[in-house]
Amino acid sequence: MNDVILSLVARNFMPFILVYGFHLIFHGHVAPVGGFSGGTSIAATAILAVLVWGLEGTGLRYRDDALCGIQAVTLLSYVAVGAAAWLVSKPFLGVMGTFPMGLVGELSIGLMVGVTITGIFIRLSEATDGHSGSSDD
Amino acid sequence: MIRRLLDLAVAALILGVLFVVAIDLPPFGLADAPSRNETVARYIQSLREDTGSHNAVGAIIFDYRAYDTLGEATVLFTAAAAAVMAVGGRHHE
Repeated sequence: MNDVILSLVARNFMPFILVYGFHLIFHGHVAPVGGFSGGTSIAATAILAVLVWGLEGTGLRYRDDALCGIQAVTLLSYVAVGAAAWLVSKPFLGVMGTFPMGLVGELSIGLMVGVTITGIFIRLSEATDGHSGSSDD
Repeated sequence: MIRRLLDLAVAALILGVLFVVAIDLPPFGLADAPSRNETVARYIQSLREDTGSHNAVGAIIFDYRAYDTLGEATVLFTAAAAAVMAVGGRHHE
């Protein structure tokens, strides 16, 4: 697909969605936002790009090892941050509202959510390639 | 036809139950609502010392209920694993 309006609007909106997503993640420990909403916003930019320019146009490709590896690492790092609360004699996951550890936890959750949503979307787009015509120029 | 009437009756029954429950809910912001129990007092009183957070809502979501976030992340992990299993992984060479 090569629509100039879609292309222009998407190209101008994507930086703002991306910055908003990072804003949500980096304020996760001081405000009722966080990794889930921020990661979803970041994944929305990738989904928008694939919808507008197609898989070939964006150059995104699904990789099994990347999806599973990043998921495992981020989930374990969230648990590790939770366990680190024991070092300051707080209950498990008791430091998520404070500055350094909470930010690490929110970053891992945000990375996990973004990678998972993007990865599953790209995999499903590849699976339906040729049926939906999402990537024909 | 009978089946369709039965569906409608079940839907109307559920809708009626929901309406009755909604009418019986305490009004918003009532001082002695059942949800305003000792948990709220505890949150307001000792939230600052407990969590060190600057935002009450954020502290409740990500600190008091951090297990909830962990569970959600696990659900997401399981969902992705199930999706990869269902559609089959494909390595890019």
